[in-house]
Amino acid sequence: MKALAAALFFAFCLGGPARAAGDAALSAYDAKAVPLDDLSLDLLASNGYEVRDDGKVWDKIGDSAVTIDAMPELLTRLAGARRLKALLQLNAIFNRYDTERHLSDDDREAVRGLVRNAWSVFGPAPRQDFRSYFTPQELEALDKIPPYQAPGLTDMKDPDTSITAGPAAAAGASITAAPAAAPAPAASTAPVVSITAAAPAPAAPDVSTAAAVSITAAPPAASTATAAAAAGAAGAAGVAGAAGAAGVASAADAAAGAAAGVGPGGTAALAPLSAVPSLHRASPFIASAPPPTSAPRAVPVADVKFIPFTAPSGSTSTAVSPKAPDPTAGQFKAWTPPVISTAAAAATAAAVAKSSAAAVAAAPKPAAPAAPPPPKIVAVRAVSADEFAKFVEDGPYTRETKDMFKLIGQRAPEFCLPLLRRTVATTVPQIIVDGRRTGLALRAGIMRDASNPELPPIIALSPGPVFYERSKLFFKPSPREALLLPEAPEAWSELGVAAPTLLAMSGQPPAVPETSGPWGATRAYADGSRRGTYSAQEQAGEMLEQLLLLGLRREGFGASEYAARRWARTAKLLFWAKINDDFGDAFLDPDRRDEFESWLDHPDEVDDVLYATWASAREPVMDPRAGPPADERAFEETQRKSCVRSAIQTALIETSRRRARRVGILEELIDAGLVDAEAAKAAAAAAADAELRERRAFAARPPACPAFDPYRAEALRKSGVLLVEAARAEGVLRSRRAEAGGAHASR
Amino acid sequence: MRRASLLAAVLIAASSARAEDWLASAQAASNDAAVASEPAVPMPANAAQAWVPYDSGEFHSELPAVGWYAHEEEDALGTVTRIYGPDSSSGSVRTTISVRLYDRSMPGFLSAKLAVEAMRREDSGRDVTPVHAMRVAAGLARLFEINETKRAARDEGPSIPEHIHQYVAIIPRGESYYLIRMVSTRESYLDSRDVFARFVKRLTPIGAR
Repeated sequence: MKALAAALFFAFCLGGPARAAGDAALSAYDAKAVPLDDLSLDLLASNGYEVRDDGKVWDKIGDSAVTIDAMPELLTRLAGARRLKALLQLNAIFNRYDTERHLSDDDREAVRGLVRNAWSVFGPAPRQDFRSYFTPQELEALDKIPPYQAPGLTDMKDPDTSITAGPAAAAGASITAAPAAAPAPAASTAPVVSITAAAPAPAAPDVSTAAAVSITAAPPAASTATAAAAAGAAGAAGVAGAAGAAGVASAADAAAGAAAGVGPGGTAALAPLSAVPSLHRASPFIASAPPPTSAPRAVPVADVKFIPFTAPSGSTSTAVSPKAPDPTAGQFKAWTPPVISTAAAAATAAAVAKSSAAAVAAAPKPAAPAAPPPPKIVAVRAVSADEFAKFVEDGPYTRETKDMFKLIGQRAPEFCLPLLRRTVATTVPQIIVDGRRTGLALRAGIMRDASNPELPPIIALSPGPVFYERSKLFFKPSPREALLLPEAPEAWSELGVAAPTLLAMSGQPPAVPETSGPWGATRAYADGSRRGTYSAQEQAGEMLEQLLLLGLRREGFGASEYAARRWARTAKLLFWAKINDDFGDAFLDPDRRDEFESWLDHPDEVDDVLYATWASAREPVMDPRAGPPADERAFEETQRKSCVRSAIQTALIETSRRRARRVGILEELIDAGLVDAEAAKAAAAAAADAELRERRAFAARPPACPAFDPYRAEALRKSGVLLVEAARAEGVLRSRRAEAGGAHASR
Repeated sequence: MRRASLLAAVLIAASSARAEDWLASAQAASNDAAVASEPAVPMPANAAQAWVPYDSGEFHSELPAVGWYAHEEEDALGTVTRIYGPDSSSGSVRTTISVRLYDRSMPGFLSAKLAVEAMRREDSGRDVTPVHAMRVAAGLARLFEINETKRAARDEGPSIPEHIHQYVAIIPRGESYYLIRMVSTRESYLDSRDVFARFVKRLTPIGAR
């Protein structure tokens, strides 16, 4: 009985799908026809395989050539083994210590070496765990290596067999509108994606501008479990196409999970998964793999009617035409969207639109915008401290400005100095002291001449605050309760009201004596307005922050305003901390002093309040939906799945934010009696009307889907590096203060 | 003049702008928009009252299904989870819950008792309530409130002092402790009090479930 069972088992294996898939899958892998990337070659060479001159990959231990269908599984196993070995070695090091913080220098260097060697086979999670061992410059280089992701079923493509015949048909899956012999998207024609070259992939077909596709799948999988079972069987019978209409994505997931347990040989690679148009994952081993963002999404709709993809031009037939044998059959390839006739597409689109209650008053589809141009590459030239000092000395700056530059050069934290020097030496910013040119900002702002962007940027510094103190019946007004007012005309025009006619804001205020106060040397005018003075040290800090923001945006680190602001703010606070060490913090105005002291002693509290402000309508630095750069990437991916609605949402949110900001400020100005109530009411009503008008306009004519920006993910990743660097620089200060044992030494 | 000011303030306050957070309002409008190529986003009738589980790397709790956005990030003090809720009517402070786990490995670590004392410092324009205990899923939480008048938006003008309110909860876990803080304005903190209370009550350290 056992012998019979064994015989049946072997017969089953021999006659299994790997055999049924054809000779192409069994033929030896040809590294000349389908070149391997560097990582693959390294993995093979270091594990007893040899790439021979004829292109065959020879297993020196098994003394046989590696077949085409076995190669993906082999590479996956080798990468996994390398990763496991590295993690075990790291574990052995960490086990010698109570905590990772106490690693000796030698062991720390050993960890760095191990991690660096295994970086290419690490996925996102282990990479995140070991980021703290590298400098931002090293991370910059390491992050160019795409994270390792093991190929799964969803990376595979039906090689050549028609999806209306063969195993899929045998399993009961009948799929019409299958891939015709139409030109494939550009993404699928690239020969090989090198693991080391992070070249941006061509833009994917825009989901929003897609024509309709109708896929009629026969018996839907009854449940995920059924799909999983079918996929499990695919290991033996190649019937993964059984994933039906009921939850295409979940079925695909289940199929992928089941395939993970498929034995060596990767027989499931031949399972026809073209019916699962989703979940493509980039893999270093996938030839011609498009980036994940280019993968069309799965849209489970009743009766499996999809409207997600663009039919490539020239495709006029839904007929499935037989193809010539593919020499790369059995290899991982990009999934190619099915194409159908334009007539069928129109009919399906009409049917879906008719059945959709949401499309009662469907708006016209906007034209797709052109893809954004690649980011301007800025030549980065290192500027030494001496060069910088000489440049400033000879530069077009006043004596006061030169003194501020010198102070910055001496006291600014090391991590920001290279950027600062090259920004100043390259862009030659003008520094002016004029509160009317700081825009909405109270202390400093960047200005550019819109009519001539080639002109050097202008950093405008305010000489001192204009403020208004509300009188109280018995008590002296607190400097905390002063109303700080912007001087720039555009700040008031944005609010829709005229600037208050205060003496402190007039061009020619009356001469009054200066008195020393919390806001520096202050002139108090008869109408209750005041003009204070910012110290040179405070102005230098504000100037440093603006110059760093200028440099970050110029060099492509400004994708996340939140990250850029945090990085520049950390540099400014560390700069002030150095001055504070020698002279105390009396040079700061009451607001900045409160912020600085709280940041030193209670950083969690001040950060929480600050970020609550940055997520508000008043100072929109971070979109609370998107969050920090790491989450922003995922958020934008999600947004792209329904890009028209997301574009509407983004536009509406901006108009709502402007209205909320204007109304909120006007309420407070009315309360302070600084603006005319009627005018403020009219301005608030105008803001509400403008929002309503824009909402109607968007409903009538939705904004176009923003074009896919292949450089966006990279830009956000660079922004993420800024947060790491800022945290590290601040952490050094906190550790130093903790060792010094100061009171409230920053938890 | 004063009467006109009050009238204007009342009229502005009564506008639809005050009805709900501007972000939520814009999202609802976009979800309801008719887009031919994309079906409308169905929103369950009771979505506003629904709660969903939230799992961070360090704890588990619950959040309202709509209108709250959680993000986790690293800063100089370690991992922090910030959960953003509705904006204040003045548009200057978005209600934000933050969660941190403090342990001895952090530089300048203060015990829970000292941390409470440091946070309850008396300062000009700052007053705090007494500490009271509340039984929560993760143990015994110490809660208190901080009221402070300060400029929240300091960089752009006009900048007007805000009455900031903080709920603070400390949940000791041995020597370590969770610090949960909700920052909002004094006029809006009651709107989110239930969210904070439920979030704290349901907070469970990972591994303790």
